[in-house]
Amino acid sequence: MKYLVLIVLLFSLTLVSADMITPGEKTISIENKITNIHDFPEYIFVSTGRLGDVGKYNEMCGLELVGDDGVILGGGYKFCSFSVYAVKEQEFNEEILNSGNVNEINNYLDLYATEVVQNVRFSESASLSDTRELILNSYSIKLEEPSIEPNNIEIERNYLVYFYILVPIFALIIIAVVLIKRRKHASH
Amino acid sequence: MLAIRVVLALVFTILIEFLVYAVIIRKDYGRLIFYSILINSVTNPLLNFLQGSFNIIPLEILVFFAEIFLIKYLLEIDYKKAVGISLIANLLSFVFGFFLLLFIFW
Repeated sequence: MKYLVLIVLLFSLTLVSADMITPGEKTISIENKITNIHDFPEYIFVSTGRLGDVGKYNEMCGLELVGDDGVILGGGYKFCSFSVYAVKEQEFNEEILNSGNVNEINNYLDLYATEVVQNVRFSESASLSDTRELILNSYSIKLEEPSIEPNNIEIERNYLVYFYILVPIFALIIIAVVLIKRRKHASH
Repeated sequence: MLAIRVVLALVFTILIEFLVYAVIIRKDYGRLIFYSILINSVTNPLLNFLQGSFNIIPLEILVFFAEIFLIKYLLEIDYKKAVGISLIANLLSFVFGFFLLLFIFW
């Protein structure tokens, strides 16, 4: 019996999806939004990610235009650092941005793009017992300096976590009481 | 919606496993439903809680082993019978629960 338990446990370990996220952790989605995007009608906003300190764009991190609603799309390789850049409408060149040529895109962004939001994150890892389900970050941007932190953070929580943890604990206590009472009753 | 699904999954599991206990043990049905509530209140919420990060199959295997001990000591039966009950109960609750919830919610 002991060996069977050991074999099944070892087999189980091989099936754990450790490559997806760390076991015992979950991924919390983060939604980012620029709230005052309509204050800059002469600008187009682009979100890109870079790896390390090299350039502003890396193909593994992607490049997305920020829509009229101000929602910042993105998310790619987990080690990417994402930023939002403002490009003047008359200098905006979609052809270059869609070219896929990393050097050309980086040169273009160096010349024409102003960083308005830094350190944008699209997800974060947290313990399974964390009640947070969704984080909504709002940025009020300025062209003079990039926003590093969101101006407002709203958190949607899922309190089912308490159900998942408290119900088994409560049930285990009752089981223990039942077994102890039974043992006491048997010894009399 | 998620809360309803989680509670329904627990209720279905309790009922299905109670039926298995009842068919095999064939006595003290009130006691059996109480033990089914207790046993599944330990394993089912934890299973739902962990399945976001772990593969469901090894989790079900762990539940199967955990329930062997709970069934053995609560129902006061031998290991062989407890293994059989746990195996049938978990197989049925997994299959029926999956299809029932699929039918209701999707």
